[in-house]
Amino acid sequence: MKKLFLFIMIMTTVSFSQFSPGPLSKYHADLEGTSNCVQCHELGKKEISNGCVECHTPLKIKIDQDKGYHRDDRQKDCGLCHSDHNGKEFELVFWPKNMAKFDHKETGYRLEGKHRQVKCNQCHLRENIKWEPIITWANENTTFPVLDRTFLGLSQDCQSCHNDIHKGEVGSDCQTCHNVNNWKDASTSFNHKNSKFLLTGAHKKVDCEKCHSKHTDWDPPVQQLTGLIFESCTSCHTDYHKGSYGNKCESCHITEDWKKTKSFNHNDTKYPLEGMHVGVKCLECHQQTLSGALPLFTSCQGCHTDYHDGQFARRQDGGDCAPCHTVNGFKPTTFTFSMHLITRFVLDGGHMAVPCNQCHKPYQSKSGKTQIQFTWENPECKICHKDEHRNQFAIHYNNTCESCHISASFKTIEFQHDATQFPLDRKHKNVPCQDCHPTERDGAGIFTRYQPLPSRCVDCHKLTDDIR
Amino acid sequence: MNIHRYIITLLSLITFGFIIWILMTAGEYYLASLIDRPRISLHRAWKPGGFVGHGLGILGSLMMIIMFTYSLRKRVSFFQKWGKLPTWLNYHIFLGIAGPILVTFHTAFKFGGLVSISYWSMVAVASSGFIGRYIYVKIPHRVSGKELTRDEFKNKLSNTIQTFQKEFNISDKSIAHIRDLSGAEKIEKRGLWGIFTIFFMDVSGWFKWQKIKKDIQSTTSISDTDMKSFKHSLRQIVKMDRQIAFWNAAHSLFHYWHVIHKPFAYTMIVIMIIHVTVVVAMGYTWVL
Repeated sequence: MKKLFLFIMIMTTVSFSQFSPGPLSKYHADLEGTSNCVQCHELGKKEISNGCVECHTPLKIKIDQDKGYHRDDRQKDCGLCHSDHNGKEFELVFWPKNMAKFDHKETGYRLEGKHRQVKCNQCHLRENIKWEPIITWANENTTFPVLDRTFLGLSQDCQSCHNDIHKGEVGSDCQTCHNVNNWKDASTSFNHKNSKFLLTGAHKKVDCEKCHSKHTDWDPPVQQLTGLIFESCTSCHTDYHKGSYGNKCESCHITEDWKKTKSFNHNDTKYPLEGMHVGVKCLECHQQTLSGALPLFTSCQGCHTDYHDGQFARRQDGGDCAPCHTVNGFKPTTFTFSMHLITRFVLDGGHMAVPCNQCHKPYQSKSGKTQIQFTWENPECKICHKDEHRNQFAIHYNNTCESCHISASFKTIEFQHDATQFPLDRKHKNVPCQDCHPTERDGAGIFTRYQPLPSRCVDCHKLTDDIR
Repeated sequence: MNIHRYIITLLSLITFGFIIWILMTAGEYYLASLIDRPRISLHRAWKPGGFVGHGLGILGSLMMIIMFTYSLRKRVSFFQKWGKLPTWLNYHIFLGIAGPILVTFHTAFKFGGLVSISYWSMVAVASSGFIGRYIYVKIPHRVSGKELTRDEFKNKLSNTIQTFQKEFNISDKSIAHIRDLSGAEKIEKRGLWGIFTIFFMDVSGWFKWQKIKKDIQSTTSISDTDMKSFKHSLRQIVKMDRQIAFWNAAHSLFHYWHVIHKPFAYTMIVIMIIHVTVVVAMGYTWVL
């Protein structure tokens, strides 16, 4: 009997390392041996419970964060899925439906669109793992290439697997613009309403590239999506007006169609439209392209051709039309009779009864146009009046009619005969004028002779005997 | 047939049915390779530590422990008044068969570690039990289980022969001829190795029956209706003759058998206790 117990004791001692229910997986080979049981197992606790995550700390972090495939497994026995003691070659991670058919939504990250076509190892790559806990853990457990096997460590950020070709220009939330169905087609996902520049009207139809040009110095060249200047339309659009109308294009234009302008109120401009101007088409004042300088509305000539061909230019107001014309029409003129009184040629006397066109007649201006003449260099009587005196006063009066006549009536003479070389005295005063100034006839008709006249007495008087 | 036979038959049927149920339910699991088993849904319940697997282990182990009461019955005088030893032996045998089968299912056919010593010891005990049982029945016992002496058994054989001769009118010469052909002499001559001879004869039904029949029928006539009874009596005589021839060898073998059977049994039970202790310490307390 003693021998029997000795045999049992020897067998027990030799086999003491044989309590294990089976060899551990090669991944846990360093835990093999009876003295290591309690490294995973807690006496009296049956399954491992927290034993696994005490070593697999990255998993514990994930579980504590309620993230990842094991987020709901806090109370679960790891061994239900990751059974060990099944032999060295037993793989602890098992894919019941094969890895490719794994329902990725179980991880909390549903694979959609193109992601469904991607093989596991296209994302789960060592170089994509940026999560520090798993990197640290892998560095501490170097028996197997953990980072080549683990499915931890990727984040749900697109940049976790995809290169940010925008180089951080548009932040990290790629799904604002991109979608998993077609990465390159950002237009379907991106809502420009969320940008600082709201797309309206025809802007909605414009290809993105038209505004968002590419960074040609980048590899690959990528459109510039931020930092665009859009304070004014000219940031993208060429200023058709070449700066003439300022930079508030929206004052006139609408984004639906550049060529259609909104109901523009010209009265908001520095030149409110009034009178006949209201009905005038824009382009009759503004140049065809609306480019270049604005009409100089400081004078009517900004738009209107000076009908009078500069006749009034020498006026103090430079020939402003306003004294004679209004925006209600070129005709009738607002120039009144009373206003003629302040001209160089004051209408009075018989002039007051003369129709305008008696004096202001068409003439050929300097530019060769035929128009009404309103101004003269020297408003002399002869401009309108014929010299009835056949140039008889050219020498002594320089033909100045006013020397004898007044405008009240041609026939009213204010002539001072005493100022002539032949002052009237004594009986001469009573002699009718025509006695000395007889009428004559020439080809043009009858006229009165004023000179030359004989000035000797005998030229008029006959020598009487008395005198002789 | 006494009540215990019914009980043992019933228990055997229940056990057999239970085994069939196990095979039908978990056959897929047991047939799967060890590396694939953890992937099968049955693993959770049928693994050695699973609800069913663990239960099978507990049930099988209890059977093995209960089986030890047979030793108590044999050795402790207090128990010796309780029932007949052959009845105890029948329960002992039943438990010794059913227990290892259930324990085998408990192991899920995965034999490793310290406890495998217990398992293989159990297999050795169970296997040796069959041999022991075979040797045991070669040693004549009373109904109470007490062994007969060789002389007593020889007398019994003489009485049996006399009755046989009277019943079927068999001559002494024929009886001598029958005993010549029983192979008893050959068995006795081979000593301990005679076990193989007697085993071969039992298994093959070896008996020069036609020759005896021809010889007997030359001197007497046996009706067809008596032939069955004749054959039975004849087999009894041949069997008893062989037992007498194997008498000394059987006792020697049975002694040696105990030397093997018991250490395996003790090894099994000690390591099983260690196994159970470790397992309970680890927290595997089944439903408790």
